[in-house]
Amino acid sequence: MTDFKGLLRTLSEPGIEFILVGGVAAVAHGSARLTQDVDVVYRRTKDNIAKLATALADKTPYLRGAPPGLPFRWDQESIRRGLNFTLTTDLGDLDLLGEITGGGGYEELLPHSVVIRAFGIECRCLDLPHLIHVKRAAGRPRDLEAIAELEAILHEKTGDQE
Amino acid sequence: MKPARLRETGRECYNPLKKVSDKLAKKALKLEPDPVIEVYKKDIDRTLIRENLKLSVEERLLKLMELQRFARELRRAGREMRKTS
Repeated sequence: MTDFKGLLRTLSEPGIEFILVGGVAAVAHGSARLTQDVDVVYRRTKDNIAKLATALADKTPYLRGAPPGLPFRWDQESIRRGLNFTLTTDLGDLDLLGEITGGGGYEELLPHSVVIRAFGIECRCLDLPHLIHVKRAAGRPRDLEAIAELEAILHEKTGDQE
Repeated sequence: MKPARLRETGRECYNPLKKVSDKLAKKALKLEPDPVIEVYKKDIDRTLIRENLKLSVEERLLKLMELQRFARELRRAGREMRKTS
């Protein structure tokens, strides 16, 4: 089971710059769908990468789905050389994304994010219209129902006529 | 490019360029209806959404963790059943 509180705290307390996207962001906006992992877009600055490397170092990060025993090292160099990481950690599955389809990186998404508060932690979450936009842009058939739900949530919130 | 000429309208300044940029921003954000998504939308349970919208973000995440626990228990029960049958 994913420890959302633990993951959000691990990322927020050292001051890592990130934006919640994906299924957990959808739940934060009111989705009733089950999701297992936490997806975040992180800022790819030297300082932020250093904080990410340190914050997750004692959470046993490892590449999800990869055979055990690979010489994978979670450090600044690995993060710099890569972009998107799908990880397992002691706190649950975590997707660290440098960029997302239809949304770009942290800087592009920042103006379209909102601050949410949970478990005494404040963090940024992609706003609902842009969450729908990036899910549409991803073009995955399995997202169709999720997008329909998000659009229904948007209509409920804004009171728009369909 | 010439700077926008501002015209006083009561207490607020009227900026014709701002009106255009607001319109463009609104248009950019507008999600055009997708016929496939519209079909899926018919089956969305709005009552679940309305109940979720009454909750705080924290309560929604706690509910998700409960759902994960339940799903894990169902998977475990399924494995047990397959072992014994």
